[in-house]
Amino acid sequence: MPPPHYDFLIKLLLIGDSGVGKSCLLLRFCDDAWTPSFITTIGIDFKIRTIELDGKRIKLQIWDTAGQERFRTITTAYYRGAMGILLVYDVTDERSYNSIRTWHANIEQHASEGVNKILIGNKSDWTDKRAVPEIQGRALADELGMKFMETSAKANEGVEEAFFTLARDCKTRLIDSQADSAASVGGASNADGSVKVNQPATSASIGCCS
Amino acid sequence: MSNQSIHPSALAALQRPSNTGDRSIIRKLSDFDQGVLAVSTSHDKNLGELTHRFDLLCPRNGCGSVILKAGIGRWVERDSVELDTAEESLHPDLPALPAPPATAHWWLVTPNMMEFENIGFTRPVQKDVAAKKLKFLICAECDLGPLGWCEEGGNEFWLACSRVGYR
Repeated sequence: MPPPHYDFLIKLLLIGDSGVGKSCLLLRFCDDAWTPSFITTIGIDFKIRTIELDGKRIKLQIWDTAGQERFRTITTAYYRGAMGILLVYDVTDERSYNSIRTWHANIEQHASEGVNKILIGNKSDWTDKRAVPEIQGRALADELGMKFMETSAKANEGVEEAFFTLARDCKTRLIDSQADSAASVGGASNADGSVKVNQPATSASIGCCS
Repeated sequence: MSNQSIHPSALAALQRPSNTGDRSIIRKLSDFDQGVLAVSTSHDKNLGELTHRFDLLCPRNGCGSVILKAGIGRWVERDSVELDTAEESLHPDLPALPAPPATAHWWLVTPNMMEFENIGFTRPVQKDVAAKKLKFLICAECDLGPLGWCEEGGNEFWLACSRVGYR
């Protein structure tokens, strides 16, 4: 088995109301008119993106809630192993902003402790339709102890920065927990066992998600 | 704790698309006279096997997202798979595949999905009752697809040789 060609595998979740543009955050060309209808019908499970961060190769596995959010019951299975969560609302839709507390409570209940979170106000380019001022988003993020960022998937503004920030927080936490774990038990696995660094690629794969 | 600063050079690196080369020139399999032979080479370790000597890209002009680094996928000719539905017209960058049971050319990616640089997976689809559910592989940066498929829960990932770009 050759050595792995990446240093970290980080599972991220996109959570928020329908229509806030979560799927668009994963696209580089969201302003392009062409969206294949088979995608719209079937839906996307997750994506793998590879990024370089501080000289490390990081695989991000990014899950979209794929319509489950309509029922406000995101299953525990969806949260399992998640290291970072992007909580997304639409700055032109106050209701989606008001839902964030509910989503946050849901995360507190189901996600593993210490999961890194970031609050995203999407569609920031829609200035004439804005319903939630930036300061209001920031206040909520501060209250809930999260970072905050506004993005425009359409204009491709802030999107990579959002993923980058969350990935870096996760990486920092994983390095810390690994150092702790190595110090206490001499092993390389971190507290929740969800990421392996410099382990064979097979053991780093996430078995149930293909 | 909000708004920690981000190292500018690292941020710049992330904001670059995965393919920083000229995205307008993406060679398709049909651009090579000898087809698969022109884009393949012997595998490093297993000389009897063929792998792709180019990085595999999203074939969409202007995208070209890097899907798989050179030398990872294994060339296999095997039964074609119905990736498309009759109702939907094909994107111009996606050639039609032969109808099964005719064969098609594939790049087989194993042993797990982390071999990919950038890729998207659709939700599982049941093509017919007897068959296993399939997930389609799509471009992670523009959603173009299907570029290939895998079985739900499987550890073999099949990219159609004619539906990826080469660089």
